Amino acid sequence: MTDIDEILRYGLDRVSNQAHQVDLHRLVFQTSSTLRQRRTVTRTVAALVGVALTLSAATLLWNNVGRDGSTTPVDGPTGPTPTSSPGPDAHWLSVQEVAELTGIDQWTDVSDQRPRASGTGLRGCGIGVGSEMEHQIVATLVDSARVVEAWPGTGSGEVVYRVYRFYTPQAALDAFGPLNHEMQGCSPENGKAAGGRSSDSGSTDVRWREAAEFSGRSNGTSSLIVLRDTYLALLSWSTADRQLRFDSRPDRAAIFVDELVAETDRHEASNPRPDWALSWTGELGPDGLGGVRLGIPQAEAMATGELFRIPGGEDCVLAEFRADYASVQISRRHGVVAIEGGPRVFTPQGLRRGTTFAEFKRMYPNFREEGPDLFSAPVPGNPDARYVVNVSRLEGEPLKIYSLMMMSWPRDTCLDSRFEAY
Amino acid sequence: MSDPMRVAASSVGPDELERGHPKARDWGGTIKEFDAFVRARTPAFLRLGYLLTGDQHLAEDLVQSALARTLLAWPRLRTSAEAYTRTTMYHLQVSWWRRRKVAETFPGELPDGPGVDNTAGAVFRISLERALSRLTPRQRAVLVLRYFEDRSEAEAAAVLNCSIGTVKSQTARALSRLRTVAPELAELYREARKP
Repeated sequence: MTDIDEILRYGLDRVSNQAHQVDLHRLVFQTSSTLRQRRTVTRTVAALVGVALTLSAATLLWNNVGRDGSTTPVDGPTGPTPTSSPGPDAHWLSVQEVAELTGIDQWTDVSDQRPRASGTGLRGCGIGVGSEMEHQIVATLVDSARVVEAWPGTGSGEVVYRVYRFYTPQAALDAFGPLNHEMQGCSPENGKAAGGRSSDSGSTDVRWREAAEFSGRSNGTSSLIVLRDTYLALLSWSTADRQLRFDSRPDRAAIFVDELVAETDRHEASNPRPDWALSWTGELGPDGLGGVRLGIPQAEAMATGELFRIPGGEDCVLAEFRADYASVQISRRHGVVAIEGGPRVFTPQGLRRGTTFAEFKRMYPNFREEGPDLFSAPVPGNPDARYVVNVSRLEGEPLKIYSLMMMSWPRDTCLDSRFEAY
Repeated sequence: MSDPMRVAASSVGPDELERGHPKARDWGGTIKEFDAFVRARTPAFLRLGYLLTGDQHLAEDLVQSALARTLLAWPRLRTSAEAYTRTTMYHLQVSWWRRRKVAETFPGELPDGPGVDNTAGAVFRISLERALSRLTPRQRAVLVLRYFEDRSEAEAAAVLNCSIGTVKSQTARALSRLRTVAPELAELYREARKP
């Protein structure tokens, strides 16, 4: 029997030779620059866009303008600024204005993060994932309380994948069909082909909650930031030619976001959010969240009626609370092993997303570091669980908690495969 | 005063430095040093990145992200930049939190890579790549540290910021998983090494 050490030494060397040698030095400078600039730009733009948005919303209200649903003609990125906007001109951001606001005058396919060396097949729809434009859009949506969840930095490194969920009624999104179809290569059919999970339950609640849905992974294609049939941004991975595809359309994206927010406001004026969406809060700990406690088996967890299951997974099932974006991981062997706190979830000690790291340390002096930007602390009253938090490291800001989870400890390894497989 | 960050933020790259870009004058040799480091070491980093990710594009992303962080820390690194970059690559790759919920997975069939032919060596390599793709990032990283970089268990533990016991158990699990998912490796290896 040949020694496995020997096999690996020889084999790994051979595998490593498969790496193509490419020149990365320019990309490194660009990425480094972006890491630093990103937050400053986002905040500036968010503030400016917020002001513009408020003004335009006020004007809309004042004029009591209704929307007729007609298609808004939009030309390509370098085309003329549309003139048939239902709102005032200030509502629209042209490429030039975006460039002035951000100080960034180059808007190419995610060139600030990840230009492709091969330069082929770079068409898709939406905007570049990881681009400044994306940050601007998300900042706008966050500013108007439309984004309920944002996970930066999944994938390898911080720049590849981003996941956002939007809190927007379907009716508001439906108004954007024409714009959506206007985007070249972005038909709804493409969106469906991208697969991933959709709101499998047809109930009104779920449709409301998941009016904007993240499409995770399917055979051959990954797509991000999907608003049902309407894309804000899309990144797709084709197994056929092993190419990542993006496109950036900053002018359209900017139009889209502003319009979307205005449309949502209009819609909400006549269709108030469901009660639970306004008032629901949850306490995470010491045993669980609501009726879902750490350690209970899957059947019992689902029987609480508080969860709906996300399709897929064998050893490790993912479910979500109906009432908030709090997700639950259920191991076949150990039952509920992790509960992630959504935006309105607090621990009994007052920890929540957005808490500063300094406060976290005060609340949980026995915390310890688990990895880069990752910390855990014992759960008071439950020796078999720990809170696990991820802190954001954004320049010019105090460290803040951006993800909060309560986990059975030691951590169930079913999570690892789930993280890989999902 | 050397401030690589300000140079980076103003998008002055090495080419501009060579052409005597006005913004580049104050920064002395710092950026040039870093640039030389990147050019010299990128091939090795890419090899490591490929082993860790099993994918050319992800490897490029990983190396790029790690080097970008190295540049941010460059003034205090200099001599230890190599180790810093490598450690950053490992951390970025194995951090389960960053990977959660979204990750690329291999398609059912491995696509043809460059240089693939019908020799026993290629068959062995493809089998190994496929087997490696079935490991967790941490297991993969441990194997790469131990068998590609030839680090001791203690060194591997230091890089991954975990205990020696964890390195041992992860190695054992990785090897056992390899044996399970690719029992044919030993035979293929012998075929590949036949003169």
